[in-house]
Amino acid sequence: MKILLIEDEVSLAAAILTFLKSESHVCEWVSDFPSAQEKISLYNYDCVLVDIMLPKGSGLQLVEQLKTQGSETGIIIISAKNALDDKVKGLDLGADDYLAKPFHLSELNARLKSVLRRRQFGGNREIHFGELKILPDSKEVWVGEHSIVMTRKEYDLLMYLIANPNRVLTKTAISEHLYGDQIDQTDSFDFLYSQVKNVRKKLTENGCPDYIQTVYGVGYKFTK
Amino acid sequence: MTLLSKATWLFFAACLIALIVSGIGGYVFLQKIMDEEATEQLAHEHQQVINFVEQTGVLPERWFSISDSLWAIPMQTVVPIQLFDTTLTNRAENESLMYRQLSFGIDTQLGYYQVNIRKALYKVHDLTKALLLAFSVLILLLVGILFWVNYSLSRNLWQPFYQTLAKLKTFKISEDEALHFAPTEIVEFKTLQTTLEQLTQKVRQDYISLKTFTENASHELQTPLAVIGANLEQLLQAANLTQTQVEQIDSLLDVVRRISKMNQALLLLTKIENRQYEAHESIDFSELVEDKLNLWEALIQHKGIKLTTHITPHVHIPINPFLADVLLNNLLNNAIKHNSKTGKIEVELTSQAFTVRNTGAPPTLPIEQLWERFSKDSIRNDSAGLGLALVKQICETNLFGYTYTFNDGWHTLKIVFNIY
Repeated sequence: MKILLIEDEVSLAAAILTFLKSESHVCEWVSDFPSAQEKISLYNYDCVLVDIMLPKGSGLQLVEQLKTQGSETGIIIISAKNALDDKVKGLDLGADDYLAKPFHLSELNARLKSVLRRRQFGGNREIHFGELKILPDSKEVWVGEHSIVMTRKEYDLLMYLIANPNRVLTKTAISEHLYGDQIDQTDSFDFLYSQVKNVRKKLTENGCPDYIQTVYGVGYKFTK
Repeated sequence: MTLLSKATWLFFAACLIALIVSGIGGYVFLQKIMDEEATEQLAHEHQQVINFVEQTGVLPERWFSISDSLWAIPMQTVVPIQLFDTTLTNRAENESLMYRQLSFGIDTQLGYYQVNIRKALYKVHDLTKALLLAFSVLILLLVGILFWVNYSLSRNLWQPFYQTLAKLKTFKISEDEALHFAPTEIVEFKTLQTTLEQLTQKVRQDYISLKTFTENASHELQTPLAVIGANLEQLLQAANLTQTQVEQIDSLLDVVRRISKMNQALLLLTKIENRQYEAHESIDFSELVEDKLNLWEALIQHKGIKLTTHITPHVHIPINPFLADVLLNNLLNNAIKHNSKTGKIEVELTSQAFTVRNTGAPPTLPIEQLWERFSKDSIRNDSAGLGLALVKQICETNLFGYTYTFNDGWHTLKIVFNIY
């Protein structure tokens, strides 16, 4: 996928770029408003990651520009301004998602995949991972011919893991994704543990290999 | 007391004092004049008698042409001139009357006489009283008219002031529009309005720059934290890490998360203090509580906590929805976090109050300190101690009452919506 990153903080941009490239995306990066304007008017991207506070302009204006261009590009705002107004404004302007800094790269990845999936009209909307098959539209999980019934949280957990294969995902990152960042961490870790156990059990009982690998004391890794 | 009533009362008091003083003064003055007049008349008649005697050598026969009460008594010895007041009783009306009498001796051809001239003072007193009455009525009338004129005049004159005041009351620091007052002719009010306009303008500018500063400061802090977090996460993906290294990276990630959370909470506190979250409309608090409990129900069950709810449906509370969410998050989170194993939570919502009760160990802090920033239970080091400070700030901003009690192993946090 072709992605444009608009971010003025060099070291953060570098970390995101390395990560996106490791996910085999084609990625371009600009650090200020005028060059971002130029890029989005000249080229087409599958998704644009845009910071709100930029040198010489606001990211919100770029969102506006993309929308007036009638672009089909997915837009994710990444901002340190966790101001409610900006969030509402950004989504109103037509951004697909809003991510407040600091965020987990795996969270960005999950949101990015979800946005890209929504943008692929008419495409094959199935996710395959080994023996697993997921239909995101109907929220169905299949192992071979077996349909697996999951609770909403279990499904969300599986989706998050599958969006970030072969990565060590910390318990913090997963629980923030599932329960929001308002909930107390220590409480949710324990809960997360039992949910991971449930998912693992439901998958293996239906003949699926155990893809969820425990990284002791830290988190989990979804891998073949 | 309003300015108008204060001014009116002061004016009234001043009028009353002036009335009493001038009444007494007028009475004394009039009496003195009348008194002197009576004496003067007596002296005048005295002179007339002397003149008559000098011209004719005898006392006048027709006394009444000179005075109403005049008589002569033959005397053997010389008498001095005497002027004195005397009281006589009028038999017909049975009342004591005051008279002023002048007695003097005079030589005539018919011998030596004492002449007495008596004048009724009561007539003078009557006159004084009548005058005083007229005077009082006049003054009262005058005061009444002045009073009314002053009242209605003040009312009209101060009108721009009251309008300015009403306008000032609507001033909100977070509003984008500057204050504009109704124009007035009066220089003082014009000055007041200009000063207020400048002042509010300045306050708004300061507020905006402070707001921008806080947001920028938070931005400046969040971005480096994002860099640290992102890099640590990438580092965690390295293939050849030892278990110790993985755990070290994870604990660093946790610290980054905590700094970031604290920063966000402090920023939120500042924003609430700055009243950046105004309640524009009432929200269905019941629905919000239900939603929140549904979201956390699984977790509560997982912890083996028994949840009991008494939620009155459709309780509408004027509060910013974001703040309501923060408030609920903190209250419920506390109830879950500070609960005992297989404990209980009771959530009650009525149109007056929202109460969260939970079982748990007694607080290790004095109760009044619980609401302060960075005050936390010494056993738990995973929280920043900002939750209840946020609850307090939200309650104060929305004029809600808040109380915390601990009784028989139950923590009770109560938010009273309408404290008036």
